[in-house]
Amino acid sequence: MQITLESWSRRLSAATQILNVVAGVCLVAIVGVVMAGVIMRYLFNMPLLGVNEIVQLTAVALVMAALPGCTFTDGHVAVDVFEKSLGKWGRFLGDILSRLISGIVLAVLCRRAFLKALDAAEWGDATNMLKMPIWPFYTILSVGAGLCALVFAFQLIAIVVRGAE
Amino acid sequence: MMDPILAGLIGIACLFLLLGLRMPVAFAMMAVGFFGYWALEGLRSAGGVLLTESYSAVANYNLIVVPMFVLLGNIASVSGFSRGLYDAAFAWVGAFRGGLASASVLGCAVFAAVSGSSVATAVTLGKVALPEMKRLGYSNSLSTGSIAAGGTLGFLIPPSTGFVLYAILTEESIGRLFMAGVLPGLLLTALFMAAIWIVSYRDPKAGPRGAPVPLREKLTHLADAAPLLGVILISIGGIYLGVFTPVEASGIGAALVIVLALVRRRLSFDNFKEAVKSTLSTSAMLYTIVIGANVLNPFFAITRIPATLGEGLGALDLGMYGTLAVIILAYVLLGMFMDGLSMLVITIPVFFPVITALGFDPIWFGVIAVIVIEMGMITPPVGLNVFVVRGVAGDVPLATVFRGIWPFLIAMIIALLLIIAFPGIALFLPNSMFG
Repeated sequence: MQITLESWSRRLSAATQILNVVAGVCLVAIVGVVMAGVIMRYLFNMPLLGVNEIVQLTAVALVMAALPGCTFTDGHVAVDVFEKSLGKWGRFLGDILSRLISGIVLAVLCRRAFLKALDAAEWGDATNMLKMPIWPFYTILSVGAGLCALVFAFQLIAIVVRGAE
Repeated sequence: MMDPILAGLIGIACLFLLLGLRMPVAFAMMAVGFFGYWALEGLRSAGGVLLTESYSAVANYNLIVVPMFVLLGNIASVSGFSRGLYDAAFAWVGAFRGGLASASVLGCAVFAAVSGSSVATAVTLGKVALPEMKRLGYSNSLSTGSIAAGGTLGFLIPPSTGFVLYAILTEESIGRLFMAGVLPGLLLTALFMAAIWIVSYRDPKAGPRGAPVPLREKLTHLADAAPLLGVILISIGGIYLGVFTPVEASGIGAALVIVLALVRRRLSFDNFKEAVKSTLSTSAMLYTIVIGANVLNPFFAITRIPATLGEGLGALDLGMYGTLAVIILAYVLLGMFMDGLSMLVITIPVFFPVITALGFDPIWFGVIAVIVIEMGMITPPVGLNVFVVRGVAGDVPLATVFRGIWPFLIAMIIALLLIIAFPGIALFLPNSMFG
């Protein structure tokens, strides 16, 4: 069981790292696009059309690609003031409940985003100004939420296997 | 169908239960919002709200300032610019009583102008300043207290993640809120330095004076820190003058600090990767909190809980300042147990309508809320900045750090009272903005 968990952990870690690279590229791209927009407006008197749309959609990719990595490394804020008073079993139960509920909500988000992506692709939904198709962005929302749900599922199994500490 | 008010009360109880069980704040809000909406309006509507609100949070143009300014702060940190800031601050104020602690607060204030996070500010300056203060024999309480308190300036001095969240939740202007934080930030910096002076005056051993620095050396250190000060001036000044939007200012600031670090050969690829990785994690964490708030608030809105609470608060008939006092007290109490950002997203939907109905300026209240939240970051039993500084200091007991906080807490209360008495301290700059 231990070996299986470790190999799953490695796979999830690799998947989150690949998405982190995508998120990093998006981050640098946003810096570049914003900078280019300002330079073109002030130095060349040629405002770039649709900078806002490019930045908004790149941000969707950035956040959803970075989310699984943040979850995998326990980067989210939690209130741990009652940590000691919860006791061994309270912490065990809390950790299980927390992952289970978060995983379910993210799985619902993953499914809804996937259905929306299919819908948007079928109807050709696009942005107002640049007419960019929006289905790829719902797809990455779905992938990010799905991988995040998988991370929670993995953590849940790991906690159950490890037992109360 | 379940009574909406009852559903709301069950929702609030579940939220606090899940938070108590250490569930991440963002996911606890998301879950309560989703399941609560499901209970009242059905699964189809709840799924729709979950998707729409999540997408609108991550595709929010104004929120881009978060990853941009976090990147700016992280690059400045890994490139060692914080060391230059600290050295320059020490050269100018080090010879005063408690000079090293004052230099730390001043360094924090300047670093806060490139970083939106109080934790990042405390960690960055703490790493540089705490060993120096230890070397010169500063008392542990004064050295750690000054860094923990100085770090909170990161939340007030623009760019501040607190103001960004407040702006998103209340649909106020991020630019105006940023500007409203400048003078209160400077006031608080001055009050922190005054607190250090008083502590060192009463106990000279707690904060000995540093050796005087010749003017030439002072100017050299200032010149070393000048490029980063220039980035701050361009990004924050650009917003004030209406040359850039806050998003543009954040992008320009991040790009400039990267170029600066490259030109000065202070940015290796590994450092850059570290800064980007940390930026991604912080941004994902903050965006998820916004998603959580976005999903939770429609549920609370249909339960009419915020409106009922607001009406209840109004019915107490405490008058403008009495109601404000109750709200501030609620923040102080919550701040003892909760993280600042979570507190902001949970309370603003309740308090904001009350405050605006009473005739208070929404921008001014943003500053008040941020300062009270800052106080929560250093008050026991849960003071995030105190824990962080203790982590950096290593061998200092938690009780010693909390003991060192009191003079700074008093300084914060004075600042708060001054801003309540003279709202112009917060409103002068935003009211005189161009554009």
